[in-house]
Amino acid sequence: MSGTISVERSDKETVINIKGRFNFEMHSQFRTAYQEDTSKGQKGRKFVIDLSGTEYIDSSALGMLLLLREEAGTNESDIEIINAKPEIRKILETANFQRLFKIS
Amino acid sequence: MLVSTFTLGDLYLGIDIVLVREINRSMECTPVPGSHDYIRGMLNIRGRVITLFDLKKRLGWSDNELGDGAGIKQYNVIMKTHSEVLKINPRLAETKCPWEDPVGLAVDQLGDVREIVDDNILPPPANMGGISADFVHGVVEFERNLLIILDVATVLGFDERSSG
Amino acid sequence: MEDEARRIAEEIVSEYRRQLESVRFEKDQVKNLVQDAIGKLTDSFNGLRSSSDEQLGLVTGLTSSMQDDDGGEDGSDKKINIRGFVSETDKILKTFVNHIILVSRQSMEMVHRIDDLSSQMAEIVELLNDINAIAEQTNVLSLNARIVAARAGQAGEAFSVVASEVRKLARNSHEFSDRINGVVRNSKKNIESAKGIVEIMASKDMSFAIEAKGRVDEMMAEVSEIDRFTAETIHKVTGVADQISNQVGVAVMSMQFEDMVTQLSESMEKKIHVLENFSQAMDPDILFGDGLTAVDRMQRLEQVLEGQRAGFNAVDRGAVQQSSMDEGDIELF
Repeated sequence: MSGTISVERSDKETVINIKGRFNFEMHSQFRTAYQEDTSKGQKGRKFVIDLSGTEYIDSSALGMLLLLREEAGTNESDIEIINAKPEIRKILETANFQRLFKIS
Repeated sequence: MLVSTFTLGDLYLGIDIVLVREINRSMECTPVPGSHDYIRGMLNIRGRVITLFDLKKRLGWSDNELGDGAGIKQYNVIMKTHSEVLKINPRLAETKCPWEDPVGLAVDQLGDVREIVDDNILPPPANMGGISADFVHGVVEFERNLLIILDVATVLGFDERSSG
Repeated sequence: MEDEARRIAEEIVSEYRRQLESVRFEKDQVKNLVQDAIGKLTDSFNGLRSSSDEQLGLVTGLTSSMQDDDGGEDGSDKKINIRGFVSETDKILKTFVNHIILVSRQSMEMVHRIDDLSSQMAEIVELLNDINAIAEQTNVLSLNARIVAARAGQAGEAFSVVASEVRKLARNSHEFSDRINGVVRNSKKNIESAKGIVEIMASKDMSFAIEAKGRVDEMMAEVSEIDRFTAETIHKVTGVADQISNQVGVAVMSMQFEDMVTQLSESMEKKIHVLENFSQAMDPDILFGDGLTAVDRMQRLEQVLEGQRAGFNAVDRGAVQQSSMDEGDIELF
């Protein structure tokens, strides 16, 4: 059982919506979701990771988020993680992600 | 004699190379409404219209024996006509090639060109699987395989014995 | 009669002197006893004060060693304390979590590379299919060439040889690409199993970290509660020690009546001295000497009385008037 990912793109922003379980099996879907934007080398694009429908997250998901941050260009783009459920938010905070991402 | 070989299911078949005009990969053909089920349709090769026979159906194979994706990756063996053979081998044209219309046979895999010593050609055995003895000119044991040399005239519906 | 009176008088004077000696001795005894008791009491109170100070020091030292935050920081002071232990645990937990995340990040990067490799493999397969298609076309072409050569009879024989060589090449090329295809298929299997291993490395459930973090936070809260309680206790202990110190101060101060006792004792000594003088003045020879008239005796007695009064007055003027320390300032002693 794994989740599904949907993407909404506008001029400046890519919103990646993750539903269900955000684990290893999602890696292809997740990478495909942002690769189109990052491979162009376009700077200053904003990524929003919407976790409102995410039920579970494991360390591989944390690894994927870190890779997104690197591939999007750490300083040029800002990445915002929104609507995380309390349990998932706790994991993000334990991982010290509030220092690397905007969590709201 | 030189024989052009090919396969049809498990059968290893051969046709006298003098009767063969050319071999092509299978291509789109136009079905002919109201024709026999073994007439797959009409081919247009460089302006010549050729009637294509589905050899498996002509041999009376059931749908089961046709196999999956029948006809998708096949080859067409295009035959010479009576007048074309006549220019090369008049005797053969008279005895083995009565047809004047351009025709072709759909087969599975291409083989090679084999040299057959005529004396080694044997009459068809009594009960061969998958092919009626009527369609067989003769058989040759070849590299542990039984090469069946087709009698193309009967395959195309020209009954040698009844016509002469 | 005269001799009898003189003898009695001599006896009185002698008894009087003896009693005076006894009074002086007892006075000295009282003085010594009081001085001794005061000395011991003062020592005892001072001992009490220093014991109380020491106790306070011990309590403060004990609790500060429990609270010492920077205990392990500089390395010079490796005291183990609860707060240090808990924060050390927290640090280890953070390091552990960071490590797991780092491994996951690197694993996921490896997965990306593996995926890239897989798609490149798929491209190879595509190319091999193209090669096969070419080989097949070559095969058909060579077969047709042989058909044409067959029609040409003897003349076509050389052509037929070339055609069959071409056909062999086509077949070799087909075999070759089949073999490559087989290698690629095996590689794909290996890549998939590598991916499985990486998946295991990358996928760690994070709930352990949350639970552990929760427990560390709880411990931190408990340590803070203990600290608060300890501070409160130290405050109370300090208060009690101050009280003891004050009371000991008051007690020690009270012990200074020793000076008063000394002064009183000196005054008593002087009075005893005056009384001794009186006993000498009351020499029976003076009263009962030959040829003394009654008037002479009267005059001599009056002189003795006057001398005695003067002596007492002199002593009283220099004596301490206070009978209680509360009535005067201690500075006066």
